[in-house]
Parts: sequence; C-alpha cells; structure tokens
Amino acid sequence: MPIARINNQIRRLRFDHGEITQEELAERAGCTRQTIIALEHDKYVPSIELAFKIARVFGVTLEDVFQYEE
Amino acid sequence: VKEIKDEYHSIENLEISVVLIFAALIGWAIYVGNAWIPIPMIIAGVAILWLTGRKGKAEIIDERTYIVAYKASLFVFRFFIITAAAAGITLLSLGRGDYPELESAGMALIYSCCILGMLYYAAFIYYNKKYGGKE
Repeated sequence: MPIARINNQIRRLRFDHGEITQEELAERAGCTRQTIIALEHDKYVPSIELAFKIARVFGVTLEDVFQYEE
Repeated sequence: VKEIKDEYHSIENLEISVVLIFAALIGWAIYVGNAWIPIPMIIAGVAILWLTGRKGKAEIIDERTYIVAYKASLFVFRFFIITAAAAGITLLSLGRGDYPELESAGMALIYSCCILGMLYYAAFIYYNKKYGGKE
C-alpha cells in the first residue's frame, strides 16, 4: 500500500491573510497554538472538523488548505 | 485560548494533588491498619477526579491534546502489562522455588494483568459500539 500524505498551506495562507498569527488562528479555529505549529511542520493531521474550521477562518475550501497525495 | 490552557494546567495540577494526597492518606491508613479509611477516600478521590475530568472535557477543545493523552495512556498500559506480567512470572517462579514468600506478590501481579486485560476488552467493546461498530 502506498504511503499517503496530507500537505497543508496554512503557513502560506497566514501570510496571504495579513500575516495572521498562529495564536490568532488557533483562537479562531478553536485549538491551541501548539496544534497550529504541529500542523505547519507536518507533524499532525487534523480531524475533518478542525480542517473545516481552519478553512473557514481563511474563507477558502478544504482543498485549498489541505491536499492529499499518494 | 490562554485562559483555556491556564484552566487546563490548574485542572491538571489539582488532579495530581488529589492523587498524591489521597495516595498518602490511603497509605497511612493501611500502615496504621485501619481498613475503613481507604474506602471513603477512594470514593471521594474518584468523585473529585470524575468531576474535574468532566470540567476539563467541557473546557479543553483541542483534539491534539486528546490524541497525545490517548497515545500516552496506551503506552503506559502496554508497558505496565508487559513489565507486570514478566515480573509476576519471575516472582511466581521464584516463589515456587527457594523464595515461597514471593509467590503471593507474583500472583497479585499476574491477576492485575488479567483484570486489566479484561477491563480493556470490555472498554473496547463499549467504545466500539458507541462509535458505530455495532452490526
């Protein structure tokens, strides 16, 4: 079975949205800053709920934030 | 988020304090030979931990914390089962040889492993049904 990987564009999207801080994104998405750090370093894959919340903070679709690669 | 984290740490500190204080009191009660003190202590301790746990669940919304806690619990559970089973078998073997006083300690460890295994199986069935595993 091939190794699946989920990439994300959170760092770029934060930059595109006026360099919104990790703390602010965490607060608006309802998680901790540590979780945002873990996501940006590809050390954690979020639940669908958190993924939707993050996409909603940036006003984009889920696939604009997260990409699934095989 | 900061307030939630502060709340989380205060709950965590409270839980650790409760466990330490109650463990000390139960240890003291066993030392002085009073079998009636530990029972209300255990009930009160479990009640406090249950209440703080419920409060924690309501306040802490970060899913990563749960995953970290899950992985830590699973590691501790496996570590305990393996080490306790190995120690239990060793003590039982020694107890049936030259050190008969070790046999009861070995049996206690092996029984605790069996009870933990059964509890794990029961909890697995419960959560499997709760999260849609029922056919």
